[in-house]
Amino acid sequence: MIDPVTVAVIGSALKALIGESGDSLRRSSHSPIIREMLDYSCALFNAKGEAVAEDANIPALLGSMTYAMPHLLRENPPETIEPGDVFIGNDPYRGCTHTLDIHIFAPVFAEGRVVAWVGNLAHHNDIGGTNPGTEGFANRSIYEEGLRFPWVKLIEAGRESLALLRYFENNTRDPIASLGDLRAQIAAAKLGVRRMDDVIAKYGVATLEAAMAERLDQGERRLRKVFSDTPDGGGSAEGFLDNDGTGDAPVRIAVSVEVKGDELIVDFAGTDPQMAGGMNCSRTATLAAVIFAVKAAFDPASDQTAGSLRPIKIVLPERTAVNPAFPAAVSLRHLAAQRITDTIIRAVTQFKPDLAVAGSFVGFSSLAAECRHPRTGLPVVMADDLGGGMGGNALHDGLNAVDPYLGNVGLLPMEICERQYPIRIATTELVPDSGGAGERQGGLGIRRVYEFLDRCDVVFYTEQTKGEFAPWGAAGGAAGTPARLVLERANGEHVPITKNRLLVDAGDRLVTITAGGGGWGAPLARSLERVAQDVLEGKISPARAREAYGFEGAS
Amino acid sequence: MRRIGVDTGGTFTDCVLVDDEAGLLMVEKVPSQPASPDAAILTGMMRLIERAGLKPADVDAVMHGTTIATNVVIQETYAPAGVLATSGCRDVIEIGTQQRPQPYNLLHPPKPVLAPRNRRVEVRGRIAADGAEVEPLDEDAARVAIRELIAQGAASIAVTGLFSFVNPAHERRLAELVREETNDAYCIASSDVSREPREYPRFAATVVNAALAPLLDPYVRRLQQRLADSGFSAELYIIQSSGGLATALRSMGERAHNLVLSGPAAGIVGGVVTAAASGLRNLVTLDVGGTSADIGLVADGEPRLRFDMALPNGLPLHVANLEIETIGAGGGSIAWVDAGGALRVGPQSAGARPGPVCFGLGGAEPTVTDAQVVLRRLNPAGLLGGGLKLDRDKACEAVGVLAQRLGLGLEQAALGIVAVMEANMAGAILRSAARHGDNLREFTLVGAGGAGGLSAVALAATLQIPRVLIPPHPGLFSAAGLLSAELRHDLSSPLMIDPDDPDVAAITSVQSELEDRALRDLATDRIPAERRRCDHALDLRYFGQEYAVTVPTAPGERFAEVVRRFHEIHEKTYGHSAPGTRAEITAARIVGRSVADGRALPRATQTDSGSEGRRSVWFEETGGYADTPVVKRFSLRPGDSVAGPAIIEQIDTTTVVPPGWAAVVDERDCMIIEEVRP
Repeated sequence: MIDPVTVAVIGSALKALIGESGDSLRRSSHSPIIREMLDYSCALFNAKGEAVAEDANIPALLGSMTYAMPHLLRENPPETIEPGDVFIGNDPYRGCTHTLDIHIFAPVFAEGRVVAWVGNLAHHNDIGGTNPGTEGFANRSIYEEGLRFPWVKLIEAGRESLALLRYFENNTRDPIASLGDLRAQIAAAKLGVRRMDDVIAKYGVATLEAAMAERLDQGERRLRKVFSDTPDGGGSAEGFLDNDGTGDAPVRIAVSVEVKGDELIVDFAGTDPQMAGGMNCSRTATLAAVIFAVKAAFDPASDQTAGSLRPIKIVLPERTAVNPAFPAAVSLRHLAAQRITDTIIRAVTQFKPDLAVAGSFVGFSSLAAECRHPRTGLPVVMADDLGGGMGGNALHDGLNAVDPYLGNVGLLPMEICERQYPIRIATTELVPDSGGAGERQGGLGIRRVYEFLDRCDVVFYTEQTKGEFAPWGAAGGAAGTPARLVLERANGEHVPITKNRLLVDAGDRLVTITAGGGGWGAPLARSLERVAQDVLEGKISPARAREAYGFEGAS
Repeated sequence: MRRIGVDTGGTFTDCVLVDDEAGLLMVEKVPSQPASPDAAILTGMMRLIERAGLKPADVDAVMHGTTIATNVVIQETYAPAGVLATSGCRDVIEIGTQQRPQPYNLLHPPKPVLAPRNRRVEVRGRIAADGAEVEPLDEDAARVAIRELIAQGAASIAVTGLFSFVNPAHERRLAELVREETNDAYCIASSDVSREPREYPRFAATVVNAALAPLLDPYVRRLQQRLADSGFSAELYIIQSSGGLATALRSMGERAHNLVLSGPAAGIVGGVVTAAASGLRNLVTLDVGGTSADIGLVADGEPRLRFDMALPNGLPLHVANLEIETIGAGGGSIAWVDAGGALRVGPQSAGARPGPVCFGLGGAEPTVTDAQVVLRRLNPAGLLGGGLKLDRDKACEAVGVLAQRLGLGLEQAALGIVAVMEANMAGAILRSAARHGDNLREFTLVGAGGAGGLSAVALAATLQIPRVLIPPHPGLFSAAGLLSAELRHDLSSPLMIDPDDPDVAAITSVQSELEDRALRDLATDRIPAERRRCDHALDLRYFGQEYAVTVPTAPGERFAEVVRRFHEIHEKTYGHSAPGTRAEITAARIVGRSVADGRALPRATQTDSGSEGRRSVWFEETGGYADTPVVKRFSLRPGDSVAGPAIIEQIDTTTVVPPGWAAVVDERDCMIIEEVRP
């Protein structure tokens, strides 16, 4: 048996090399979605494809590559894999989350066989399909969602497949950024492989494999211990999407969560059938949402590996919004995934008293615009995603203006946007009175105004626009406000929108207002000094202070 | 020339006097006085002068490293700043990147906001990306806003506007209005702090400046005054985060935030100077203290410089600073076993109080220092020449508890604690080196701080760094850096130029304007003409990228050549390049510097009387306790060598030379430790 010191020392080396791989990917990528918004993830796997070290910036990507690897291995028998190969894949029906998340995997060879894999995934701005930015709430099938790579070799024994690259280049709306990002991904994976070669030279294959296996076991034991220490019990909750992307009827996410001995069971029985539109949550994306919620609710400080998945039993009814069947469209799975997470957290609050939190913004108000670069006229695709208020909790007010739960992408800087795209952002500000009242107030949402300076083909979308689905209050706290999008045409016409694809022209403006978080605890228990400070800062109006908190103002 | 270097640390203020003509180097250590750091400085300096038989007026220059800004930043005791923003900018510093520092924490603590919303006011006025005015500045509203900010308690005002790095007109006008409307409240515009795009980091740096300057400027002025009152006529220089010196005047106002890493920067420069004297130019500096380790990379004699950093609270800061990676790994780092049975070391630290278990001050958790005492690498009889007693039995007890949980023997657990901490350090060094594609096989590891010598050789072995250097006085590192640092000015100007079809005249005019500014500044700083030097560089990136690569350039160089080197550096740094793909030039940079006079520091003479002792020490390589020579550092003279296994002790540090390695003392009194080739 391997000793714990060697496991820790090798574990530290593996985490460092994966971190290094991530640094390289971020710094050399082209598109803002990777380098400004950090929508990428790197991981190291054992030969079976189980993640033993991860560098995830976006919680949504935590653990998700572990579900892609078995598909790669099934489609590529060991005898067909050679040193110097690099695989590409992005198919949601082959273990990926949606087509925009391009996965790159490279095998690490030693003693004539694969002993490990280095992988990364990065969100690309566009990969073809019906809509600019590929994502579409109204997509009817996966065939509208751009190129789908099965698990094929992008580089075969060191030789780049020019055919694949040129085909890829020819089918995306932003080829310069896409190819640049892909190159950055390949280089990051190759760097990881080189570093693994050093680790193997130092410790040998047998020790490395034993250390990787033990890291997985340690992760499993740790989480089992956490569940054992939690009294057996369970809770259930329902959450809703505003609609299915094509109609107006809400879509139900139902989940029950139960701690039983040293295991956790998450069951989605009662969830609505798969949607006609593009917000279905692909199986991998649902599993990643569960992993995030479990980690955040039970063991936030853990060092994530595939071993942490073993004590969790997940029941995903087939042909539902959380486990759709081919060829359902899934490009906007993030909207459903955020709601899934929010619903799991709500269920856990029913039996885990120290998870004393209210609901957070899950609307992910976004736009993707196909347009021309202001200086060169070349085609580019602009994308931006806005956060909102986080729920208040027993210890603190909810954070203002953040991308909650699975998100955590960065905001597109106003100065970067106007330099790269024909879009001027007029303001980015907090929305007063948007947070739910409570002893701990919900965080405030964001108001961002985009002014279009040229014709753009834009996909706009947001969730959580209905008051009844706004971020929920807890322990006596009130709900936050819902999200809202308004397109102000140059001719003065105001068009309220939620999910739309429209052509806009110079002079049109989009006003995006995101939701505030839910409040926690009885509003009247809030300290009047805090209320006074909020009024002073203009974060709540005097009217709100009076109505919600009984605050009459500084005398 | 007679110079005094003064480094204010958390515990001690180190003062070093150098008299080049007399070949004298003299040291004085006095306790720091956090409430009035200048008092300790004056005490130390006067003592030095007296001992050397000099008068204050005999000193030609005073070089100062200060942690005053670092402390404000760590303790968040900023001055109350206000923000005067133009259209759309009021909440930028509060919204930031919309990211959560702790993405898995659903009970998240609040994010820091330097200026609360009632001290932030927005007035109309907007500049476009190309510098055109989209919306004129509302000056009347601005006057009202300024008075409102003062009424809300703002002691200083940060002026922030979009695209001010292209056209600063609105910001400049607002700064004028602040001067008119207030009784000279401190005011700073974002375009004077940084010329880099991205509003959040630029505005955050501006607000940090506004919150620091009202505290730092009086300190610098007071220190100048006290020096003058005591009879010193020498110029006062302060070391900046960039590792360069600046006159006291240039350390204030719009540059106040440059002092945030003043203290640590001196340490890296000290490493460069010490190693350069020994002929070594590629360095990894490792400064290990009680709670953390500072790692710096020096390539070809130049410390790695970057133009942004993050403060401990996560705020970004645009400022030229030495790339120093700080990790929570030091002598006081606590070892623990998590619920899954994994051995972890740090980042929690026992600090100075209660300190490691072996200090006997109440510490109960086993630390790295306890492990080193168990292994007898640290002298169980005590440290600091007997000034600090150690209790090895207590250390064994604490490490023993951990050993039992891990199912290991006592010494295996102790070795494990050290190994895990060293693995964390090795990972941080690898990542630092990887940022620039550095090949560590071409580097020397410089071990400094109280605990650097314990781990330096083990790390070198792990990282395949062929050589370790231990300076004669690891504790005087910073002061030595101060005395040898260059005065420098880092200036830049944004550009947007296609290098395949370059507007040569435009670039040349920007470069010569920068050069004029740098030379003028150096002249004002009273640097003689023959010692002024300017180094030019251009920032390039692939079209569509947003992060640029800085490419050093020679005057009059062809752009095709610059572009060729850009591809080369991109390949080295990131592992890929795309020659033939369109690139663009995004900034011109210049470093104006005073060329050092090339004189090496005199040697501090010190000798240990003393015979060699022996004790039984556990090395990984010996697999058990081995009878090991314990050598007094200053019993070694240049040319002497010590073969491992050996322990080399001096008052402020202990150096481990494992079996298979040997230490040689060079002419500069540095210990060079290399693997013995069979």
